[in-house]
Amino acid sequence: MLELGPDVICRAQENDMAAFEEIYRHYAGMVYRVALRMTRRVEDAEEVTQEVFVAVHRHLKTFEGNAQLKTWIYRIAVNCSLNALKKGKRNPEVAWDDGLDPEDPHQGVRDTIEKEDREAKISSLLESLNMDQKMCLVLRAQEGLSYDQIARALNVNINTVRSRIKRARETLLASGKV
Amino acid sequence: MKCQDIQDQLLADFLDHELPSDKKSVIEGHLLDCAHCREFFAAVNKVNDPLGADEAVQPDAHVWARVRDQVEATPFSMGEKIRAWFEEVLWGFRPTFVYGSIVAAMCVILIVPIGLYRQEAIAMADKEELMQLVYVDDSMTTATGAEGIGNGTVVEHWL
Repeated sequence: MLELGPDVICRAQENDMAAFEEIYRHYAGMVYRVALRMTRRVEDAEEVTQEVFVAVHRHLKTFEGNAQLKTWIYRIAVNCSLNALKKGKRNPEVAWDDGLDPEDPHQGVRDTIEKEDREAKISSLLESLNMDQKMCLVLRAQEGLSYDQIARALNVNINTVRSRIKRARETLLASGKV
Repeated sequence: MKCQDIQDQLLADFLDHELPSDKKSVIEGHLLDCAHCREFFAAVNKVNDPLGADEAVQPDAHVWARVRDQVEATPFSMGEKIRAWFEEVLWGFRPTFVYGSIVAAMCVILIVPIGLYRQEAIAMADKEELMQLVYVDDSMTTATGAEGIGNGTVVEHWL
């Protein structure tokens, strides 16, 4: 994914709503996917996405551009997802597609059995990992972040990222779910 | 390099393209020769592939509507307002601020010396006035009929 131009960020920093919407359109997918993988519920992922972009808007003026906007937003997304889980309101043991109403108009992305199977498989794979491993693996395998970007997003050492990803894949191999 | 070391690399850095080209070549060479590690790498790929990004997964349109509504409705705290005001003064109206600062600096530069000059002029005037005063001693006082006030005492010259 290409980074947005600095002009868009500058305009958004000056409260230009159209520029802020451009930032939202650019990064909402990745924030939502990370939140969905972590919380495993569509409603919670939407709530986290909303929370993330409200925070982005509020703190955008303090963004100095010495880091990538993408990494900065990932960091907020990770923290909001973890906070959502810590609050205890969400139960990550309940699969993201459990109890969904087939008449629900917001299920456009899950309208095929094939897609549902795929998502169920991913959920099944990830549930055997601890939160740290899951976060690193999602950011790497799903969102394509480099180890350095993950380290900055999670505020940990790059070797910690490497170790978590390695252990996550070892766990997946050992679980024999594939 | 042992198979265990190779597999450690396959699980993370090699799969994620984080290795420098020389180390990558070593592992690729090993994979050509070692069926066991090739099998291991195939298994790792099988685990990793389903986790790939699905760009079609996007939040519903109502999420943006909620973000926009909340952003527009949420008032900033007093601290943020004060900070925003300062930022606006310092940066929003930057030319005005800069020109204002220059004018203020010029005023200080001009007014302070004028004030000092004026003080000096007053002091000089006082001094000149003083020059018109007469030192009188007791003898002169006696000659002019003025009241004697002692040696070296200054009295005004009433001429």
